[in-house]
Amino acid sequence: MPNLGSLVDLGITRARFVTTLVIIANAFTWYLVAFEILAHMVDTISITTHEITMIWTIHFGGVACAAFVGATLSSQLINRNNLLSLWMSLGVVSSLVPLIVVVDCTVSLVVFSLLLGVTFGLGMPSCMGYLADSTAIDKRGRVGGIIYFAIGIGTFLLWTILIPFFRLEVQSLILAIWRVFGLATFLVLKPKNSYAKVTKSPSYVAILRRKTLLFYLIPWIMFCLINSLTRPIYPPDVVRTSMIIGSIITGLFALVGGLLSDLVGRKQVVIAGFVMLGIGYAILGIFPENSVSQYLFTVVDSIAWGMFGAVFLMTLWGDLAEDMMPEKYYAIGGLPYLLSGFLDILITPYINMLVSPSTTFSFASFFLFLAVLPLLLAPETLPEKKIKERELRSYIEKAKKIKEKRG
Amino acid sequence: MPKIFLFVGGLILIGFGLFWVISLFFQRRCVENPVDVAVLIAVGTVSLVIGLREGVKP
Repeated sequence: MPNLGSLVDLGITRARFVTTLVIIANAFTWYLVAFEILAHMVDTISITTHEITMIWTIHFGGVACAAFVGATLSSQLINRNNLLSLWMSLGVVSSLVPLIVVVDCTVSLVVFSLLLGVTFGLGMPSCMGYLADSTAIDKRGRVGGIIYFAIGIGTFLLWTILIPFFRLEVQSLILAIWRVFGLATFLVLKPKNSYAKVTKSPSYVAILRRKTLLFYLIPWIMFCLINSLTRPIYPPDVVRTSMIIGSIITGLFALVGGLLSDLVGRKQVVIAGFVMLGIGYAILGIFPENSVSQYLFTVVDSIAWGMFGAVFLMTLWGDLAEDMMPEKYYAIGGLPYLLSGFLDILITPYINMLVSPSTTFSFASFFLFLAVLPLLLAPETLPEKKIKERELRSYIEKAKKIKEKRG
Repeated sequence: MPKIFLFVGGLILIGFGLFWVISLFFQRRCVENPVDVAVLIAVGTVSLVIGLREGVKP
């Protein structure tokens, strides 16, 4: 086993780590809280179901299109640092919209939701690309785990401080200040562009033709899909419990998952996550009313989310990009996570009427089993050479210690 | 491959231990029997380490 010192070694300078942590955690926490505020606005204004669907379609369409455009711009036309600065400034402006304009009708909600989606999607691939270019492949998992942990804690804190106690205008102001903090940190630390080693940016078609990417992308899409389709039928107790305690366990296991993915490989951590979820869904399918199965499910779902967040969201796409620009890989890999919220909103009103919990959880378990099959064919993205090197280093250190003891 | 279940089982046991402690913390109650939680987490850790050492190797 490697020693403790090597486990906490992140392999990047402190300034670089802080910049990476701040730009990603700031963006995701800002978006997740802004999304909840938007959802609250949509719920409180009296509009028809069709208008609600239109608002969310435009929002998620904006996220997806902006992510693809942003990835293309960053890798071909605009310097990444300039795009990130522009993106964060746009985030400040869009946060202030409810403060300046009264958002109280369908048209204003559509414009605000589009602005929010575009503001997040445009820079998301670039900030993730910044993570990939800042970290070595054998240290990326643990850095990703720390960032995902920070996103969870940051969102939890912002959410518990912002939503219950303040009016919409104050919430907007706090979000704008939070975004300004991200921008200020980025400008003060002035990171260098890290394109030196990068040679080219592949097309989206070329990326989607890569079998290795598909072997990881298909399970990730299936997980997001199953998670969205089953969420509306969780028993209310499970939802309440998993929101509070689950988020803490998710954060802790993001750290564990990130570290493990550097030690034993991404594939093994992801397979372990799917095995856990399969067991959780199967037991919940057999005993949907039993509180022990509900608690078990809360635990395995939180652990799996932590590990998948660290690996699927933060690490894997950077590994797959290898020496190419990672933006487009992150645009493709990040979308299932972002768009799963859309499916959740579309399906929620109908799923309870259509199927029983027992049937749905059994199907979920079966489809999770199917999702593992492409993973078994996928090659490990962490180079075997790195794992062997670490084992050898650990062995030498042990041998040195034994030699010192014997004098 | 079967040892992946030791790895997974270890993670679940540790998760359950943490869940137990955190849920009691939120209910503002003390852990009535801390030895049970400690044993759960210890067994989970041992299972995880065995799973890591022998099972989950690329």
